[in-house]
Amino acid sequence: MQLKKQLLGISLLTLSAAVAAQAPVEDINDRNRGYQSAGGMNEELFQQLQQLQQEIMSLRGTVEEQGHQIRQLKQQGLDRYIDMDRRISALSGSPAQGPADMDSSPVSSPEGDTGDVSIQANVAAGAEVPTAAAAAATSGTSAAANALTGSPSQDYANAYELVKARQYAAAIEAYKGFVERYPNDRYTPNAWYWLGELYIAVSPKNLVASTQAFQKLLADYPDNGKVPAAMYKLGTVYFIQGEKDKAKTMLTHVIDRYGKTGNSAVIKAREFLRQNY
Amino acid sequence: MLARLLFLGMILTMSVFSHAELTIEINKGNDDPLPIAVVPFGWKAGVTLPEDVGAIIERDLHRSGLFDPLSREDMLSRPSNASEVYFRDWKSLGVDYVVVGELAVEGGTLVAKYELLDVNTQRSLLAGTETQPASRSRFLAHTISDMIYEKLTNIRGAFRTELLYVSAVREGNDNFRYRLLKSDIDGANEVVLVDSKQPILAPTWAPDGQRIAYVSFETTRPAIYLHNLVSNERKQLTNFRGLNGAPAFSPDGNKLAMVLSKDGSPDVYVMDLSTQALQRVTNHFAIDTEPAWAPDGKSLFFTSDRGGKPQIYKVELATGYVERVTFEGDYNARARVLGDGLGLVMVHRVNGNFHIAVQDFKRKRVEILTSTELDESPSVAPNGSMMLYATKHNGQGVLAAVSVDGGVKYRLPSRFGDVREPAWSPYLY
Repeated sequence: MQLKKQLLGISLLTLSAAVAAQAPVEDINDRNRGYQSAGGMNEELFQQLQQLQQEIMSLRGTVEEQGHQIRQLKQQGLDRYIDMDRRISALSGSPAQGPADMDSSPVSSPEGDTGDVSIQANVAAGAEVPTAAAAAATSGTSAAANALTGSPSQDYANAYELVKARQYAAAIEAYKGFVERYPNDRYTPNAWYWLGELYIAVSPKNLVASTQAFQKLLADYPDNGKVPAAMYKLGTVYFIQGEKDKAKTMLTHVIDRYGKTGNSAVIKAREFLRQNY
Repeated sequence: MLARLLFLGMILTMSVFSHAELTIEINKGNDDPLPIAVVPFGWKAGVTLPEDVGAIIERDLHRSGLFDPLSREDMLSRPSNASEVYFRDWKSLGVDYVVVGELAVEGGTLVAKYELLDVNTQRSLLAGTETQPASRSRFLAHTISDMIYEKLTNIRGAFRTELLYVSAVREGNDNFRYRLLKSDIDGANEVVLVDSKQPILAPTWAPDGQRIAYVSFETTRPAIYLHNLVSNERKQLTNFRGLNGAPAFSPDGNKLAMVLSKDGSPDVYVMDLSTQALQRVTNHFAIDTEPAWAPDGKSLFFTSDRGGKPQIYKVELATGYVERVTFEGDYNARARVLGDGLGLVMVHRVNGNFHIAVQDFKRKRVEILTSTELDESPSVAPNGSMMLYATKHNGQGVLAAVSVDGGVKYRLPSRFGDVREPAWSPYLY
């Protein structure tokens, strides 16, 4: 409505400007001719007005159609993302296999990378699915707080399920419960790693808690397969916190220490350094 | 500008049409209709029946497109009650359902006992008795059709509904006789409501089925009239300069949306029928026309060329917020909302031909339902199963019907000349 009025206003202004510009010239020359051309000018104005209306209408049509196309593209993008995410989740396996994967491939942990991608993607797509994510987060909290089963692998799987469902707040609660209850379980390092990840995936980010979780993993389980990924992540968290030198040192250390293993954390560290330094 | 003139032309055009009585011709049925046998109803000797009740039921079911009635010549027996039915015979004829019935006249009242039987399970699905004055035997038949239809499809039947349409007969060179007609939905019991030398347009039903509104040029200028079918009273509602057109009753029946050009270009207004107060709903230098109410009565769909080409828009009455609804094709007009509010029926142009199409709100896809050209004025049955529209057949204006899924089509050709502007009534009983 407002836009339309402005457009009309502009067109009227232009027209009156045209009148002002031409009228005096005609007056000086000849009164009679002045009258005639005043009539002619009205006609011309009318034509111009009609042209402008036509122009506005066709532009409006184009704007409406483009708006519609943009909405469609957004929806398609979202659909595609959801589809892809579903496939990736399917590839990364059911939660029961998840922990096993982590153990069997401790160094080039594909599971960790996948989780990473998934979370990153969600942050990017966060604007698109705020309600779903929020709803999931709130509904998940109670589910997560709900008790541990007593079986570490089952509890770990439950927590990982929450990560896959993108209920990050609930997943944090679940992993916190896990590390308290099972400080010496074989999945405990993975739980710390996920805590580190999740604290920067939730909104608002909890950088301090994330740093602490990664540092806990590095200090207590220096030989764990998650260490390279945790180091890389910790480096990026330092970077976000503004501690660029510390971040650079950490990332360089990842490359030096694990450079020959082909760990994906090394590739990411290189990439990160290239882009940010 | 040319396109705009053409569009305006579409609104104003009235072609030559002439008086008619409708007959029905089914030209496309459902792919998989239910085989059913409607056995001629038995009756006591010595009584002359005004109508063949069984035949009316059979035609009703056939017209719905969902049933394939067995022809009477093929029937091996003609039972008139369930105890006389040999299911094996009917099974061998490939029939799934059998309708049997008996008629009796008691005083001036017609009594029909009927039963619907499932051949495969050999069970009775429905049994009942209907009574009507002997003069209403068609109505009695339609009532039984409604019962059977609803039992077998779980959709409320619409055989006891009525139809408004306009015909014109040429009388002399430039003179026409225009009539607003009302008939049963199968074309029978035609009544002339208005007879005029001037054009009549856009008849529409109030949701109560007792009032109608239309545009008549009888004062030589277009004006909207409100016509009470029960009392047969007419009232002229508008007499504004310029266009007075496209009346549409609100779902509660208390308001009438319309198009007026009294303030310049055609815009949509809503009139409160008790106070006759007008509310201006749209205000645009483009043409806004053909309002249709959303089922909740809170918004109106209308046709506008504000985007350069005629498209359907939706306006919220409370806020005046306008949103475009159709994006497929360069011409979408004359929307009617499907009864369940899940979609729109409209006139959609493809490759220069005008077709009736459905746009589903959820799937957002446009489906073209008709294969004829120059199709216009879609009007949806109250149960949403079928719609009527006006089209041309052999150069003549005829009414045609199509199911909302496009699977069933039939024509109601007039015996003389052109008919147009069908309006399917709401449920009347």
